Amino acid sequence: MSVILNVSMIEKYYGNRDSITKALDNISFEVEEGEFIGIMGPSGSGKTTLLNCISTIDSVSTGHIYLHHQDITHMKRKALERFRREQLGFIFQDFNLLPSLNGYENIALALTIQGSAPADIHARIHAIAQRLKISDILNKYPQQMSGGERQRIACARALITQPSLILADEPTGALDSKNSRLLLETMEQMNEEYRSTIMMVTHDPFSASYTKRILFIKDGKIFNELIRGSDSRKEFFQRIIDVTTLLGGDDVVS
Amino acid sequence: MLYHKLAYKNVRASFHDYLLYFLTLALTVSLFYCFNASGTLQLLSDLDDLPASIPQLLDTLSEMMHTLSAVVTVILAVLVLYANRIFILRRSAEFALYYVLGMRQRHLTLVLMLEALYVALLALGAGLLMGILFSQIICTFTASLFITHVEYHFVFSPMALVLTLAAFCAIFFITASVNVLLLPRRSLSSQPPRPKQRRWRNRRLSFLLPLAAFLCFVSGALLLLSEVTRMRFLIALLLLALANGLLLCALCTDLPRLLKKSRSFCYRGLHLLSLRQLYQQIRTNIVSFTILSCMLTVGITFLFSGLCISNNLNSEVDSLTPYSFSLIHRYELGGSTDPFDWRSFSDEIERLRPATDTISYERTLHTFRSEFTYDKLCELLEENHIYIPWELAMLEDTPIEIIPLSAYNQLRRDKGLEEIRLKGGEALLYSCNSRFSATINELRARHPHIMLYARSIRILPSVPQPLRPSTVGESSPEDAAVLVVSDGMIPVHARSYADYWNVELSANASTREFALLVDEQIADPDDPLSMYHVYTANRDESHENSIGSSVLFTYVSLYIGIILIISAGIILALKLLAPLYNDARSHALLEKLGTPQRMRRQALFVQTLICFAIPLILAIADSILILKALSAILYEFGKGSYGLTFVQCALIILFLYAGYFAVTYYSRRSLTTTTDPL
Repeated sequence: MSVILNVSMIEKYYGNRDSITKALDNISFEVEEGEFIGIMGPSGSGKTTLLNCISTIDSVSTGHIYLHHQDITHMKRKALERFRREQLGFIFQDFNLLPSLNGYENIALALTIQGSAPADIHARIHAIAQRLKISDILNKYPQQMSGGERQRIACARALITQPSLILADEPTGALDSKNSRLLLETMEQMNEEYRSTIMMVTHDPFSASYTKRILFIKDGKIFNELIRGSDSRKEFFQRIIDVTTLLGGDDVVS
Repeated sequence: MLYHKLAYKNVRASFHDYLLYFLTLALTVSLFYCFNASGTLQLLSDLDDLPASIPQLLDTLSEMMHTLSAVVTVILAVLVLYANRIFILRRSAEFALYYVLGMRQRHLTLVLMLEALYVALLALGAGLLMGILFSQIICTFTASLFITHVEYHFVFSPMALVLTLAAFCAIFFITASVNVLLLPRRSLSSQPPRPKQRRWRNRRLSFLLPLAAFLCFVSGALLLLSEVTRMRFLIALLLLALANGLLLCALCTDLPRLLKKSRSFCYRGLHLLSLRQLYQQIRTNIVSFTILSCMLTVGITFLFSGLCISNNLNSEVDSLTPYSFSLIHRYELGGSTDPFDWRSFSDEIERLRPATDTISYERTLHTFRSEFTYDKLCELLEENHIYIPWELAMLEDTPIEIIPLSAYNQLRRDKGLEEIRLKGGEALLYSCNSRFSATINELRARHPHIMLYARSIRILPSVPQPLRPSTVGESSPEDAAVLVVSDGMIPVHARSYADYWNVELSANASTREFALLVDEQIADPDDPLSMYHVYTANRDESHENSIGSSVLFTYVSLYIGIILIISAGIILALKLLAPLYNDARSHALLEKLGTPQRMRRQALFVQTLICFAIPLILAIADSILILKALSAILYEFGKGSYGLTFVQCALIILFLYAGYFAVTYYSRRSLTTTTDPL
C-alpha cells in the first residue's frame, strides 16, 4: 500500500505577540492509500486544526504536508482550489448541503465545479446513489430530509469526484444513534468498496471504533496510536475507551 | 452613558451595513437642499440687470420645488422606514442577546434611536455640505443662461435649509416612532424569517401566466398607442404594472421546468446554483420587483420627458429668432381684416424706427394668402393616407402663408445661403415648425401638385433649409406650412397675409431695449399707427421664454427622476444584501469544495446583475410605450433630436442605478467572504 498522505513536523500557532497559542506541536504521521483513520482528542486538542491544515483551509506555521508527494503547504490560491476540487472530499458535522438545491443537485455540484461533462453526471450520480441507498431521496430538498439522509447525501457528494482523501469532521455529531450507525456503516462501505482513504475527526469512541487506526491528540501532540488489526469492532471500542480514560486523567496507567 | 457608548460602537462596527443607508440619505439631503435652493440664483446678479420675466420664473420654480419636496419627503420617509426594518431584521440575534442579558425595552429603544441619530446627523451634515456645494455650481450655471454678467459669490438659502431640516426631522421622528412600535414585536429567534415556500408547479399556471402577462401588456400598449384619454391612460398604466407582475410569476413557474430540460447549460460550473438562487430571489420578491419596475417607469418617464422638452425648447430657440427684432403686422387676426395698404408699410416703419446706431441692417417683406387653406392641406393629407396632426385639423380655413421668391431669397442671403430659382408652375412647400416637418415632407414626396391661384402648381420634392419670415416668441401651428412661389405667379390683387419689419442689431446691443423703444412708439396715443394687429418679438425675450421653460422642465424632471431612481436602487440593494441571500456558510462550502474564486464571483455578479436588470428592463419597455403616448405633448414643445435626450437619460441612469449595482455587488462579495464560518 502506498503512502498517500505524509504530515511532517507541522506546527500551528495562533495569536499575536501578546498571546500565542500553539494548536499543533510537531505532528508527524503517514496515511496509506485506502486507509480509514480516525483522529480523536478532547475539545481544544487541535484535531480540527489538523484537519483544516490538511484540507488547506488553514495554513501551517512550520512543517510540510504531502499528498501524493505534492507539498500542499506552499501552493498558490488557484493551485489550492484545484487541489481541493480534485483531490479532497468533505463531510461536515452539520451536513452543509445547499438548501436551494435538492439532493441530486447537491451531489452534482461537486462534478459541475470540476467541469465534468453534463452527459456523465447523471450516470455517475445514479450509480453512487444506488450503492449508498439514497436513490429515493435524490429529489428531496435538504429541509425535507432527516439528518441521516442529509449526511448520506453529503457522503455521496464527497465520494462522487473520486478524491484521493475524504475528510470528515465529526460527521455523526448532529445525528442520533441510529443514524450515526447507518452513516458509519456507509463510510465503512465507502472505504471497503471504493477503496476511499478516509480521515475522520471525532470525539466519539463509538464512531472511532469503525476506523482501522486512530491517532489520539492531546494539547497539539500525538498522544497515542491504536491500530485495530484483527480486533472486532467491540474489542477495538473497548481499547479506545481505555485510551480515552487515560487521555482524560493523569498520565498514569493503572 | 453606557448606552451612548454602545450605540456609537455599534455604528462603528456596523458601518459597512449602514454605508448604503448613509450614502442614500446624504445624497437625498443634498438633492433636497440643492433643488430647493434654486431661487437663490437671482442673488448672483443685480436685480436691475435681471430680465423682467426672471424673478417670476424663479418664484414659479421655487414654488414647484417646494410642492415636489412634500412628495419627495413622503418617498424618503418610506425608504428610510424600509431600510430601518431591514436593519432590525438583520440584527435579531443581537437584540435577542440584549434581552437575554436583561436589557430593558426602553434602553434597547434608546440605543436604536441613538444609532439612527448618529448616522442621520452624519448623513445630514455630509448631505448639506454636498448640497451647498452643488447648489453653487447649479445656480451659477443656471444664472449664466439668463444673465450676461454673472458675478459669482457664495449663495445660501436659509429657506432651503429650513425645509431640509424640517423634512429630515419629520422623517427621523416617524422612523424612531415606528422602531419603538416595531421592536417589541420581533421574536427572539436568532434566525431571520425564512421566505414562504410558494410552489408554482401547476402546469396550467405555467401556460396561463405568460399568456395573461402578454395579454395585459398588449392591452395596455393598445390603449396607450390609440387615442389617449385620462381614464385610458390610468387603465393602461395598471395593465402594464399587472403585466410586469404576471411576467415575474410566469418566470417563477417556468424557470424550474427549464432548469430540468436544459441540462447541458445547468450542469456547468455554478449555473445550477445561480439559477436556483435567482429563482428564490425572484420568487420571494415578485411584489417588490413589480413596485420597483413601476417606480423606475415613473422615474424614467419623468426624466426623459422633462429633458426632451428642455432639449426641444433649446434646439428650437435659434430657429425662432432669425433676426434680433421683428415687427409683425397681420392683415387678418381674430376675425377682423385690416384694410391697410401694404405699400404704405415702409412709411409706417420710418415713424417707428428709433434713433439708434445699433442697427446693422433691416428688411421689410410682405407675404400673401390664397385659397389654399389648411382645410385643403388636410384633405390632401387624408387622400394620401398621411396622419393628420390634430392641431392642423383645428386650423380649418386658415390660409397658408405665401412668401414671394424674392423675399425668400432675401431671407436666404441674410443667412449666407445661395439664392434659388423656381421655374414657372413650381413652388416650395415647407414647415417652420419642427413638429410638422415630417408630415409636410411626406406630403411633398407623395403629391407634388396643388391648386394655387387657379393654377396647378408642382411642389419641388426637396426644400433647402426652412426659414421663418421673422422672429417669433414661440412656435405655433400656423407655422406648419409655408409656400414660396415666383413673384410673377402672385396676382396683383392677391390678398395680403402679413408685413414684416426685420432688424438685425449689432452684437452687443440689447434687443429688449430696442423692442421697448418700438413698443413705446406703437403705443403712443398722440401718434397712432395706421395699421392694426401689430406686435413685436425680439431675440432676448424668445430666448428667455424658451430657456426659462427649459430650466423649469429640467429641474422638475431631474428632481423627480433622480429621487425615484435612487429609491429603486436603494430598495433593491437592501433586499439583495439581506442575510437570506448572502449565506456566508454556502460560500465557505463552495470554497472548500474547490470552486475557483473567479467562478464564485462571476456567479454572484451575474445574479446581482439579473436582479437589477429585471426591473430596469420592464421599466424601459413600459416607459417607451408611455412616452409614445405622451409624444403629442412632447411635440408641442418642438421636435428636437431624441438622441441627445436618450444619451442624457442613459448617463444619469447608468451613474445612479449602475452605481447602486456596483455597491451592492461589492457589498455582497464582502459579506460572503469569510475565513471559515464552517
